[in-house]
Order: sequence, then C-alpha cells, then structure tokens
Amino acid sequence: MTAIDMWAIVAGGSIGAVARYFIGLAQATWTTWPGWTGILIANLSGCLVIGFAVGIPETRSEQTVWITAFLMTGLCGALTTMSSFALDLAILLHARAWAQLSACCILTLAIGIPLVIAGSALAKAVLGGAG
Amino acid sequence: MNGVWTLLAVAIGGGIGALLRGGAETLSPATGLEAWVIILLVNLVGCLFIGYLLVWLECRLNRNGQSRLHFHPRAYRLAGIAGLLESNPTLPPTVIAASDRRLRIESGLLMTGLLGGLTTFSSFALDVVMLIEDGRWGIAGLDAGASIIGGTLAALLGLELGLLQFGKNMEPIGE
Repeated sequence: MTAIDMWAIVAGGSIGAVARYFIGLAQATWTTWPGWTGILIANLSGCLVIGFAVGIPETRSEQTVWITAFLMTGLCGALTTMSSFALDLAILLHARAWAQLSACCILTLAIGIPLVIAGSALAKAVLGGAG
Repeated sequence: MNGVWTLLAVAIGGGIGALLRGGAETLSPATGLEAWVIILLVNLVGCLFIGYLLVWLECRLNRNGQSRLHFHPRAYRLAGIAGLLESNPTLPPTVIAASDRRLRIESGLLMTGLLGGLTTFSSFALDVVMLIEDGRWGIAGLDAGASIIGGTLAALLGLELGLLQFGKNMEPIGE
C-alpha cells in the first residue's frame, strides 16, 4: 500500500464515519423510528455507493486509487458498519423485540445486497460509454 | 463547541479504523486467506469489541439513568452504579452534563469512529455479490450467516465479558 493509498483511505474513512454519525443524528432528531434504522440507512447507502464504485468502468482495469482506496475501502467502508449493526441485533435480542430483530436483519440483507447490484448496473448505464 | 469535538473524534476514529481494515486487506496474499475471509474476521473482531466497549463506556460515563444496557438480563449487576439504570437525584446536574460530554466524545472516537470504520457492511455485501457471481452460492451463504449470526454472537460475548469485568464493584468516576 502506497502513502497515497493510505491517506486516501484515512480521508474516505473520516468522511464516511462522520456521514454515518450525521445519519444517526438526523434519524434520532427528526424521526420517531427505532434506533437501529439510522444504521440501516447508512448501511443501505453504502451498499449502493460501493456497487456504483465497482461498476465504474475503469475500476476493474486500472484499479485507480480514488475509487478503490478512497471510495470503496475508505468512504463506503466507514459509512457502513457491521459492529453497530450486530450490537443493535444483540440489544434487540436481549429486549426480546422479535419483530424488530427480524425486520432489522431482513431489511439490511434483502435490500443491501440487491443495492450493490443495482449500484453497479447504474454506474454501467450512466458511465458505460466513457469507459 | 462540544459538537465539534465529537465530530473530530468520529473523523479521527473513522480514519484510523478504515486504515486498519485497509491494512488487514493487504495481508490476503501473505496469509493465503481470501478477501472475504479477512473482511469477515475483521468484522467479527469489531463486533466483539463493540459489546465490551459499550459496557465499559456506559459503566464509566452514563449518568442519566438511560443506559442501553437496561434490557440486559444480567442488568442487576449494574444496579449498584449510581445513575446508570435509574437516574440518581443526588448526582449534581453538572456531573451528569460532564459525563454526558465525555460519553459523546469517547463513544464517538471508539465506537462510531474506530469500530465503525474498522468494520464494514458494504465490503461484506460486495463480497457476497461477487461470490454469487462466481457461482459459489454455498460460500456466499456461509459468509452471510457467519457475518450476521457470528457478529451478533460476538457482540453478545463482548457484552458478557464487559459485564464480567465492569458489572460489579465498579467505582463510578466524576463524583
């Protein structure tokens, strides 16, 4: 990993984590939804963006730093989180909130994974000609 | 001003967490582990630490009686800590405010920032999609199951370890 890669990851990671913090804050301030929905929204956004990043035509050929290090490892990686998601599931499990536990789990997986594919298709549709 | 420090803490933690994960990903050739295995392991480690950290931070700093540990079946272990599970009227409001400030900054640095940046859902989802595209449906299912169920179990284990260590005879600070 070069120094540029490292700084790109740090920059992307900082922006991604702050964005996730603001999403959580906005969810807690402006909605009455359960607490785990903030992380859900952050995770789903990150899935769409990482799909888009993979779909950018030059990604697979040149592995440009700004896409792989900044956008994928840094920004998407820090915008999304497994630890807070798992902690939410653990808390819902302890609270015996079965409906919310299933909703959190199913919504995250069943929307998140298709969003990666959708993001990639979107990038190819929008940027396909430029590659 | 308080909000600025919290934001800075989240940004620093997120940058370091993401860099650690990026570093771990480069170990793929040296260890012979596939990329999805490394993301899985990093995520599981992060899940373990977040459970432990939650107990540590709440026991030390939560002083408004609204702990997220309230639902834990072994919350009775935490009942002796002033202001943790029930707000304590003998605590001066200034102590509660100071603890709240520290909780926001420390939890921003370590939980939202460091562990949030270290662990990732997007790379996991991308790995699952790539495994499916390669026709490795079994491995994709294994990755998904190990990440979600394993991650939750790791967080539960972290909570238990934290309770074992901090749940009894914890000296509350700042009083």
